Amino acid sequence: MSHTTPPEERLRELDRALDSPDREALLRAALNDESTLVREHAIALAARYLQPEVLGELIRDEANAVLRNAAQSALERQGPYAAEHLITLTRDDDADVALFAVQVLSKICLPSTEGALLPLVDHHDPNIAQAAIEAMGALASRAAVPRLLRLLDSDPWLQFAAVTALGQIGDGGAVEPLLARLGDELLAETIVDALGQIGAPEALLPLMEAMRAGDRLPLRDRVLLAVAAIVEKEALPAGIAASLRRYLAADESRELNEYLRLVLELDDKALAHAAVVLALAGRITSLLPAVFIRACDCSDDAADIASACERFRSGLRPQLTALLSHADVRVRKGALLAAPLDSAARDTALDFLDDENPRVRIAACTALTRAPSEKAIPRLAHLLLQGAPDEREAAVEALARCPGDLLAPVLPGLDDGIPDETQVACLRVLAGAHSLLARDRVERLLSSNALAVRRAALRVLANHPGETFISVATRCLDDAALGPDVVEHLSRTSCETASRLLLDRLDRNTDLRYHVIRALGRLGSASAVAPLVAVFPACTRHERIEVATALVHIGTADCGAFLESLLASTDGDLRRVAADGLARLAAPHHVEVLMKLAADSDWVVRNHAAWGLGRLGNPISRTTLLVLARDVTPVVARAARAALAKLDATAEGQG
Amino acid sequence: MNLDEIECKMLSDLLADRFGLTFEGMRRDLLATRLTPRAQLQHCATFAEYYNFLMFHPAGGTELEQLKPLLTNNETYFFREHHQFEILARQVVPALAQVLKERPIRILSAGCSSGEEPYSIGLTLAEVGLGGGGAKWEIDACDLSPTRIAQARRAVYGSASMRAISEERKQRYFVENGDRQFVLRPPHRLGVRFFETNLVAPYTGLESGFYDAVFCRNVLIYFSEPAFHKAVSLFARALRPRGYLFLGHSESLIGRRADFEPLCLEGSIIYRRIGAPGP
Repeated sequence: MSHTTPPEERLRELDRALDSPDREALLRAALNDESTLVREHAIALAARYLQPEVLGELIRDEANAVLRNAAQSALERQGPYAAEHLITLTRDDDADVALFAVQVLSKICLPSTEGALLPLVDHHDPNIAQAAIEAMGALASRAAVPRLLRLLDSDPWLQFAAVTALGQIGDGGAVEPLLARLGDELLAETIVDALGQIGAPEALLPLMEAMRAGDRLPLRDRVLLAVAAIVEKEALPAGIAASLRRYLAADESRELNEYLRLVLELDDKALAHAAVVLALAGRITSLLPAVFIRACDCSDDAADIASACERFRSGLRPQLTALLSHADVRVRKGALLAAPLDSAARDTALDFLDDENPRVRIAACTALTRAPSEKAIPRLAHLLLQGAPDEREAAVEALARCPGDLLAPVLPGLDDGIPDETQVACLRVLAGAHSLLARDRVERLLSSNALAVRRAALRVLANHPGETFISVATRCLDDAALGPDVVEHLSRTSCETASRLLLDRLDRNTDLRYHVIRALGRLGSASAVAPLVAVFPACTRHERIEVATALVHIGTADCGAFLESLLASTDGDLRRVAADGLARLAAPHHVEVLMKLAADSDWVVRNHAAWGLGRLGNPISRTTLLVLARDVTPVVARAARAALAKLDATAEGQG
Repeated sequence: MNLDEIECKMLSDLLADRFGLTFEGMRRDLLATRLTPRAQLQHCATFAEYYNFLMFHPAGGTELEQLKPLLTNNETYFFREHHQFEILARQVVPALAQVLKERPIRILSAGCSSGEEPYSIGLTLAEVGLGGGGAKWEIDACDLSPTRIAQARRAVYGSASMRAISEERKQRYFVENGDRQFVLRPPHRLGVRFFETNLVAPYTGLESGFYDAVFCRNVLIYFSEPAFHKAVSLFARALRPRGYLFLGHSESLIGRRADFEPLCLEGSIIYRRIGAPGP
């Protein structure tokens, strides 16, 4: 292709070339194009239209790295389709070709290739051996572990690769051999990472020793990350947990604790998180203020720290009172935001609702959201009714977690003359708490001039039992602004009356019909099928798409028949919905239809076909799925590979 | 709301087609976060429903317009990547000295957000003496978001926009209002024209321009590959021969375009249009 033409034009020429008898030659040329845009597209097309054998020849080109790399990428995209030929290439006389083949198989990562790749771990060519080791790590091959352990005493590059793979595999049998080599300066970092990935508790104390050792300071950050990963992976055995705490409390760990304090102030979130985990798991009391200052100062981290505190709450409990009365307001605020509150601490949090600092008041609300307290309701209601907007918002979150029948202090917010935003806030509380209080007052607010108030009132009433809400819904359906909300709430009830109420609206050609159709689909009511099919011809295009989608959700046999008829539609978007429906509802006899859809020009239809064939799991679809696994559209290729994996798993189970 | 892979691709393709922006792969969570409130406002329980709404509902087009300000990170500030303004002052303007005796310098700020960049360009040109007796520059500033354009026209800024500006410049060019905001003094807004456009639409309003320089910084990183080339082709047509293109520090044309050559000026890479101007 002429390189005086812009890349976009060369792309169009490439697509036109697909119908040309010179397709293969043109694709090969495009794989070598100077523009990455053109090359990327050529790779996708080559994966779809060139055979693995053709691509395999291209990776032999010693002179042209661009072409070679493009061919490798195309083979990788072919995935399982290319696997057999790639395995053949791993035995090629040309060591570079064999190497590239192993590397591509490693990226494809098919479990079925494990047996062919495993022997290559001991290949005499160290590059091929290294690539095979990396493949074993990618495949998480436990069968490879004994060979990898033997390689820990071999060539340094193979050692690195073996250690990395052992970490990826995660087999506990590797822990002792790795610990034995922790003193190796070259391998130490990689070993530490691997031990963190394996997550075995028996590695914890040796790693702590490495972190404390004064001569291993450059390694310290890596070890901290690994230690935190082990602590977080699963609950430590009681003996190891106790040993960890003793270790961190010892005098010799003073300098280590100071290091953790510094890390808690860093911008590096991963390291800071590791320090938080170790401080909490190790019950390092002196570090707890720094942990909660971080929760206060870094809002992004507060939720993360709260989660860690919840995990290690038993160790925190004795410290809560001291933290909540700490001289530093940041510690108090951080503790309110992140510490798990027991009943005594919760009472302390209540007092902070009256703190002179509004940020502390808001933090107290956040604490009470995590640990609701009935005693807090009057004070929270006061903040909701009288506080600044951000205090009101925080109070809403806390009150919505309280028992619905105790929320009477909030009800003055529903009175006439109260500002709309306050009424909305009170209604949000009642809705969140699923409260049935003051139903009459809430119903009156359905007539408010403010749409936000009407919507919020409707949300509260939607919590009432099905038939009770139906009478409200019937009245509100004629409110043009509120109608869609009513329909949405009706779609969440499970009563047949809701379905009938909606079906009554189906024949009315209004803006609401679109929402009604969608709601009938969500309700999944079989009685809606015939009316939906009947109204289909009278619908506008966007309503037809919703009718088809609703029938997919309802999913009866009648729905399947109607959706199959839509496959013949000239409307591409309707065909897409029909293909989705068929994929979900297909019976075994639909496998031929789905195989035909797998060759459709529309990637969405092909994707649904792949999914449906995977669901049916019929072996006759294997060849079709192998072709789809090379699809130009990566998401389709992935769906096809997932379907193939299911077929393989089924075949193995039966074998 | 959960955004699955298929929904993500369909929405991404729609947004790429309409606005040139890409959200595939790593940015899926960002797309979900930004679209969830809009989807819920339209009573959609899933992103598949929201996609159908955008594509087929009569109000879908209006809804798409509402997405514009949500789709990009609009963070910017005065004299961001200040070395590029120094290059404009010390390299570009002197190189054009002869022609600027006859006509104003013309600069495009593509993806101008709330106006900090085009105003920074104007202030730079004033400081090198192009002003005086009426503006000797014409700065066109465009953005996808009407909200941002409106903000730019108001020329009122918070402290975040002022983070890289010296105290001396702040005093000289801005007035602080009662809300602790900074208002650009009216004389310094002269010569800057704001308008809304989509850089990948069939018609952008820029095709007939002959710009001496285009600034398009930290915009193209949001573009899909085809949209990237479409936009750069637009700039190639809009620039005079040997006109300059300024990109963000993480953006590059090297190895991607044969119609621009990289120049190393004062340690930074700027691009220059080569070849004849387009139609």
